[in-house]
Amino acid sequence: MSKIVENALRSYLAKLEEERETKYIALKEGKILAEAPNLSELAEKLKELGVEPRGLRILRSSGIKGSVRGGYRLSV
Amino acid sequence: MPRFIGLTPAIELIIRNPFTGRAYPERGSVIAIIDTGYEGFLLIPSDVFDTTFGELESERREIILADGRKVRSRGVFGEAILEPYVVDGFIETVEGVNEFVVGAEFLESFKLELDYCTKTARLELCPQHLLY
Repeated sequence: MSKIVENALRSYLAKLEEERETKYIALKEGKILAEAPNLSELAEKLKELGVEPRGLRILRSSGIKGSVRGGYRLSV
Repeated sequence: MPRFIGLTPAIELIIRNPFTGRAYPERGSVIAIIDTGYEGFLLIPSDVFDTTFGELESERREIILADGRKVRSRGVFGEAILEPYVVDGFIETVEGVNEFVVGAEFLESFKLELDYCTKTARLELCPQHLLY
């Protein structure tokens, strides 16, 4: 994905985060296809649009932490 | 519902990719260890991840191990089903992991009570999550 698209996406996610309501967003080839408050509704919308799941990228408005602690169970 | 395996609390759940309908396991449920030291949502073995979420594009991040080493994980947003609840979260894997672990991000939706006297455990959805 180009840097311009990635930056536009990050701005959009930041705007959603400001609204303080979790939203899930589905993208394919850098294009936003649908958004919904939970994965179940998002999957339903994509099904109605006839979108194939292969290559789908799902993001959440609140994002994910870039680094987390693994706990004592994780030993690789 | 949660229970103790020896002295370790665990829960039974089903992992689901809502975009393909694929679930693991296909029948019954899998036991996931509760580890509050893991800050993520759900950690699963790589083969289960690839089978269940292989079509989706993964996100990558860093996991810090107990000994300070860092490893890369890959993950996607998916569903953890604990009848009657469905919880959305970031499901990830690291090469070499062979068990299922639920962490603090998963537990933040629940009230978890562990009674080591009687070896019983209870899990209730937080009031603010009851609508979903």
